[in-house]
Amino acid sequence: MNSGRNWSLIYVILQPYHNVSIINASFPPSVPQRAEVQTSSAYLFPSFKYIPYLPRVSFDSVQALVKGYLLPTKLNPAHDSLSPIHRDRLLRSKEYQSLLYGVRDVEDIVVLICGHGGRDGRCGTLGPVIQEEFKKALPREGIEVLQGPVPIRHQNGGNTGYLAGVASEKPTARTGLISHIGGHQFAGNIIIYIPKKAKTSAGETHPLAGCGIWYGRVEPKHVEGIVNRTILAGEIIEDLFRGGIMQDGEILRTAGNAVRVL
Amino acid sequence: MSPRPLITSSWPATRIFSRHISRVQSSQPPFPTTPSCPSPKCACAETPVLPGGLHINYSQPLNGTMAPYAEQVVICTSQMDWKSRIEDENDGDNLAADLKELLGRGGMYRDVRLCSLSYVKSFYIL
Repeated sequence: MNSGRNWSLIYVILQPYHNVSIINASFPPSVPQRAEVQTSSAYLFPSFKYIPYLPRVSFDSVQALVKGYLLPTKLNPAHDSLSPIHRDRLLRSKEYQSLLYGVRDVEDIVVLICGHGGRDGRCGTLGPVIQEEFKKALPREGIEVLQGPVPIRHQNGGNTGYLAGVASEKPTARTGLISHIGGHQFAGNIIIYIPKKAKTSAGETHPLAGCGIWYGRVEPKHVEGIVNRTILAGEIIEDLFRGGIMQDGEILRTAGNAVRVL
Repeated sequence: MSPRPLITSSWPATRIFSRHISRVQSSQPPFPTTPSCPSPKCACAETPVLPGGLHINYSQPLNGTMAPYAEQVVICTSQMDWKSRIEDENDGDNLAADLKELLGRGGMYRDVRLCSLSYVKSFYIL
């Protein structure tokens, strides 16, 4: 290394640009108050937001999702030459967030398992078996696996909240099959999102709270270990680790013999 | 969304510099790790046999095979499987297609990725 300045330059350039990953999941969408309205629901990670209602009748809710939650909050210096109007168009705008009803924080552990058989037989074969294994292993460790749509309580003032009894101290999880995330050759592929307020089994702050951890080459025999080591104790299993993301978007990799921010 | 090969581990510069960048960023304590997955104590399902001709790659290291992203949108569809391109579901009338139309190639918010990509490329050539 000839000077610190060069390395900081490289660091800036290697910062991932704003890439949004869009995948489907087997989770059922929340049921709208008016059943005749066709809506979608979506999770956002690592923001850990759940958006229960995205009406399909117009493009407005899609625009609100993109402008309010998905565009970057600041632009890469490469955009400095753009006009202010153009830059504003590419930036997130909080006013759009209020157009989406009932958005709330994700408080469940979310285990996503690639099961995209329509794309590749490996994840399509392994995914459902691994999901069943998680559904058995999580309750053994005292983590309730929630099924069915995320319930939303509708209040008169337009605010929403949990149904009574859902928000408890006991950790809860949801497992879902998802579409392609890259790397069928590394099936089974899973992503574990640990909620921001998660605690370890010892009651301490979870080291991976607010993080997403990607594992590959997962087999049913690994599921118990993943639940114990990663979900309960907050340890990353190195020989399954494909990478990770922190809540602020920083990317995790194995570096030397430790996992660090890229 | 399709992976972005320039920023994955297939891009040599990422591999060469990642260790040094980690040193620069060492103010962040490393995460707790364990080298390998402990063996199960409970009975678990057998690993299913894969369809003919399909194999798992056990030779390439997994580290760095996650394509970086700023946000992941996970759409609740109630389905257990999808067409090869998820945007083709329901004859193209679906949320994934709408989002990819705005954020994907040719979309009105695509500039973010395209500009950055050319920025990285120009540096790499230099």
